[in-house]
Amino acid sequence: MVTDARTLLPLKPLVFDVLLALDEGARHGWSLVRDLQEQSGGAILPANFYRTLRSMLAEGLIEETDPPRHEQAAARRGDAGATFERRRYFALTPLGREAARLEARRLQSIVSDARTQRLLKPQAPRKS
Amino acid sequence: MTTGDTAYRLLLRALPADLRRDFGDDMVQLFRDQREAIRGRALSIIRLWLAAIVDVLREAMASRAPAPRADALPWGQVMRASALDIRHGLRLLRRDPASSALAVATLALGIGANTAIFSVVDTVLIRELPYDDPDRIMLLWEKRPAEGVMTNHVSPADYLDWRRMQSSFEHVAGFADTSVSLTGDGEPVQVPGAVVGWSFFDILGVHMQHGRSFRPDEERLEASRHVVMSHGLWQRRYGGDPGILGRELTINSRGGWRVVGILPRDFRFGDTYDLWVPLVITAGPDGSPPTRVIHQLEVYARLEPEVTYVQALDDMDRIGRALEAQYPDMSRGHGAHVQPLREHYVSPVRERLVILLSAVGFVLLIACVNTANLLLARAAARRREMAVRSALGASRGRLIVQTLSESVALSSVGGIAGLGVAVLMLSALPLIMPDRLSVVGIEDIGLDARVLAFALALSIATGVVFGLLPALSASRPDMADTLNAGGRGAAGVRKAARRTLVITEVALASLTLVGAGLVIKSFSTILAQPLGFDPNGRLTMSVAIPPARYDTPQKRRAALMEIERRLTGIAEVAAVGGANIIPLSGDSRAGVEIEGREVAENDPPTRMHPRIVTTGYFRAMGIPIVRGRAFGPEDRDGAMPVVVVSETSAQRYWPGLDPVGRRMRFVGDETWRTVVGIAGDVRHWGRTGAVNPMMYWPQAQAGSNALTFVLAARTDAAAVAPTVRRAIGDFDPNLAISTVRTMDEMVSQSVRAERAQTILMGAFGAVALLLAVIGIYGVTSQLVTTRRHEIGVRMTLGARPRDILRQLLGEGLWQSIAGLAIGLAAGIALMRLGASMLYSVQPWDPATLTVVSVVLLAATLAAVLIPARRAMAVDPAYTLRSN
Repeated sequence: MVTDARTLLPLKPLVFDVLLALDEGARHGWSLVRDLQEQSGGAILPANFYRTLRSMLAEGLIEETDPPRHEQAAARRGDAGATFERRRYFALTPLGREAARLEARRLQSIVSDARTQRLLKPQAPRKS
Repeated sequence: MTTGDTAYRLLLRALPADLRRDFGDDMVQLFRDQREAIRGRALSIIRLWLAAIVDVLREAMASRAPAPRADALPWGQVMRASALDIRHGLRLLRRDPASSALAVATLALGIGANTAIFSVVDTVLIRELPYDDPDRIMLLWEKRPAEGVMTNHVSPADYLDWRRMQSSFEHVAGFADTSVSLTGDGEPVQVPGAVVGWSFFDILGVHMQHGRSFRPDEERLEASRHVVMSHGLWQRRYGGDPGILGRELTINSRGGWRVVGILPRDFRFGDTYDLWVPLVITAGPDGSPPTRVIHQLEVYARLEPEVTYVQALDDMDRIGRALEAQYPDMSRGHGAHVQPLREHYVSPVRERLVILLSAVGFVLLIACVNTANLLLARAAARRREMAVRSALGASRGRLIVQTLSESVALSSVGGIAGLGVAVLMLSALPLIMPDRLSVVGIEDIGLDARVLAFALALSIATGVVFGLLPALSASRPDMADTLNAGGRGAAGVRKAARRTLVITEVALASLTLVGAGLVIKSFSTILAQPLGFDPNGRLTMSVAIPPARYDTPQKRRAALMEIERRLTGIAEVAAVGGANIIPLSGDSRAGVEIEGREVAENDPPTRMHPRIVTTGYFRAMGIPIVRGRAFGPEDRDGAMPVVVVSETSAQRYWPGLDPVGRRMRFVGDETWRTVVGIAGDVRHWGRTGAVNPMMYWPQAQAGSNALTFVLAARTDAAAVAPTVRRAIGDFDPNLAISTVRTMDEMVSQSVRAERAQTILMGAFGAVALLLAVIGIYGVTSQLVTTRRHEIGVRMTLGARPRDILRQLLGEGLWQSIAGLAIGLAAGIALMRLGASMLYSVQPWDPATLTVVSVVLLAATLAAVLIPARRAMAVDPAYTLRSN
């Protein structure tokens, strides 16, 4: 278990993406993947993804949690598709939120760097 | 659970158990979803599986590696260490040259064959078509869903209507191929040509190397004499003269065709067309509208930027229905279909290439298994070295990296040799492959950067795959044991690994052999199909009589008759005949009416495939007349109109009757024609083609301007060609003679794709069998060597040599049977996917499966027998003493 989020920086892109997605609330792994796939447009590699998830658990960036209320209720009612018993839900830990915040700040400082700004400036149309 | 799930679960076993327990189900589910999203796209699925395999292996290594320590090696040092490892690996290769050479040769064969086939797949399936924004190019077809036809050629009237009514395409242009005679400057030649709508080159996005393409007003008859020339013809005939632009050519004996453009050298469009002229669609001579019944155009179109394929499909569907309502007589059941250009070119070859790629993939896997086995043996021999290194403080990861570096060094040498194999294979491919694989030709296939990158990646992956098992085994030295004793420890583990290797090899070999066997059987079935004519010793050539110089039908007919008479006079020629269309070249179909035959409203239309033939045609082609008579001199112009029909026509349209003496006529023609004979059936499109209802009518009563002559030669058919050319030249030196070919050549050309796949699959099957036998021999020899001691003990205790032999053969047999069962099942499953490669053979064809099983069992038993005989000769006293 890590206690100082700063030692984890810089975060791997996949780790950062997972933290950002969980910032919106607890999710099960499967719905995380779906969102990440939609965002990146490519296929997420299953073994890589779940091993990353496990090491994030081990580092204390995320933790397992109970399913959100409405899904529990849905399962009790026996709604179609509510099969949360098999699924494990994950939520952000304070450490995870801190790590995401530090990483975001780190990225921000890169973007606001003068050299990056010059790079991003709209270029004059090239003559050819 | 699907097979894919099971396979993936097996793969996941490489991961640590706790990770699998926690997330195994989720991984399987995620991977299933990913597969379903690309269902039906074989290449994407293969790519996904490869990615999944790499993913799992990488994660397996990563999660087993010890957590990085603070004092972990810096990268530079690691790289230096790896370089040392590789050099060390290469040194080891030299130490055991014989087995290293065998391993390198095996890998070279596997990697080389894969590289060669991949370069074909890359050119044909993966790379973009060589046009501007090719995914927006579409083909428009007439469809007749009720008849199961989705891609029929388009009639001129429909083409004009579609072009006028559509709102989805930037441009729409028709295309038809033709043969053009070019006279005037130099020897008269007949060259392949094409007539195209003015915007054709804009649709492909091709820019002329010199000059321009066509303009809209050049589709009018009076402004149409403009030509675009291929780069090839420009170089060949005009020496690349830049002054060709604006020059006037004589085409089909008409002057005044002005050259406006030269195509770039790298322009590719199916067959090579040398002259392109504007497509002019005119009203009939009596002012009647263009035809809606003759279907001869391919129609190309480029989507408007904002329009999607589906919208275009809807648009054309709407137009099709509108035209159907407007012209119910001619267009009932007809519609318009849109097909992406890529689909048109790629779909016919996709399955074949994927199956070929799988077959070479299996060959490579067998090569991997063989090499893995070799390395396992070496690992066993080097246990001491590993134990010492481990004792001196090398971590397990370090030992794995070292062994893997050695195997990658080995596979890289194999890969370099494999490039040589690939070059050889690619240079041999044109001998067997069809000329046209797609819009691109065989000449476009070669080793380029992408293929080299593929070979490199393949070599490294191969090294990792066959090195992993030996590396894991070598890096787990039970130090104390090994350092203390002779080192027979952990033999049980290796025995299980070897058994797995043998079963895997037999399974892979039988899988490949099933494919090869089925394809060979299918090809022999094809060769056994009767053609209905005799191609042996037949020479064919086409002659067109230009209406510009022979201005009446009588003159043209007389000219062709005179040519036939002169050809008959050649001493080496036994028989001569001519037809407007001979088998294996073009087709025509016409609606007919049978006298006295009732046609119900919903009956399929009565159609025959008419051919205009001279009196000698049936004899020259070797087509038998099964009833009645062939045409004779009495069937002149003005005599009673006569026809000969084929057996299929007779059975289909005069069921239970004798057609001879009965009458028929063409739809739209008043003249009744009397059937005088029945000819044998002909497979017009070659051995795998359908048998169509045919109808022949005499040239004397039809008057075709162009005939293809067939000459039955007494000697070698090709050798007669110069004499025949001379005879025609004597008659009129300005007549262009085209497509001089022997019938044998045409028939062989028509099964070229099938022959190519048979040769390739057969070769891969043979190589797979050979490699498997070598591998099994190697495994058994090592088994005998390591079990020498045990065998010695048993023989001392009274076992006879025969018992030892029986035991070893028995083990070999059950391993082979297990492998065979897996391989046969997988082979059948795979060939069900590749059913398009098979002609009237089922994937579970019992004869093929039996032959494959017998061959494989015999081969594997032979491979076991030789080392087993060595085991029988073990001298118990010597073996026991030596320990």
